Amino acid sequence: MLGLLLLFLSRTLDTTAMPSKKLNPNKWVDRYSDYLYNYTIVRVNDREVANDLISETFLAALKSAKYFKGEATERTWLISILKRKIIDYYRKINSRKGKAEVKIDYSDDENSGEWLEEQVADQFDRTAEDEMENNELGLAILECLDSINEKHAAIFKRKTIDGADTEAICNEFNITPSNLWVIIHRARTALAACLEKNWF
Amino acid sequence: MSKLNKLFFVDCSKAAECCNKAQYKEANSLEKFKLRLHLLFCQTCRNLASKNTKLTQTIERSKIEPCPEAQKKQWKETIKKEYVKDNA
Repeated sequence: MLGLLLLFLSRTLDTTAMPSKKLNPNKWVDRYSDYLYNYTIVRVNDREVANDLISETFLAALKSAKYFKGEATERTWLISILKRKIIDYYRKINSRKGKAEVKIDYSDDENSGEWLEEQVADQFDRTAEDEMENNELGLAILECLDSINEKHAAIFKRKTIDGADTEAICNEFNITPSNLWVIIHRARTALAACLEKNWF
Repeated sequence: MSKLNKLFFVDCSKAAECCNKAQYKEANSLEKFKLRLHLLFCQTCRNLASKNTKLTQTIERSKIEPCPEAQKKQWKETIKKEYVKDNA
């Protein structure tokens, strides 16, 4: 009896000593690519560049996988690498122009002038801020989808974000339409609850 | 009469299904009618339906952009290749 107890204790101690989360690179694309993609496009505003940066992030992450301590979630860890890649990207295009620092006055192919006078945000033009906020909302939604049942989240994404046909999804996941609507219902309920907690 | 009842009066789970279909504009007129009828006397489903509509609007507002499938495939292959190489 005591032996059993000791065995149980050592098991539980083992699991707490080990990194609680292990990396699973084969799942990265399915789990995080939409999140990383939406995170990047609003920051670099160029889909090609975003794709390149994410590729670099994945490769860098694979290389430094052994340093992953499991203290953060996989996604947070990937984002921290991606952030550095985005900063590097801006450094590179800045130095390519021969500018050591970002100048206040601007000049590009089409226009030049005094930044402060001409480019200062118009308080009545809320579009830029709205867009940022919407992007954050998008990330919050993807984050919430991350926390619900993986299969439900995948089906929900195909249906809602990709806008795929009911029939196509049924074939893809080998389910019946009524299965699909039950799954959609559960995903929507879970998502609404999660968003209510984290966003509104 | 009971057949007619069955056709028009639905329970909450059926109503929820109709409501979800309506969110994706996939509900036919009979389903829409059944949902309306059910909502008339079911407060719980009324709350759920308004929440559901709000969720649809929120998702539309967020303008999430799906990452292109081709790109995903390419990343998957790269990761697979590199991962195998690193562990060899």
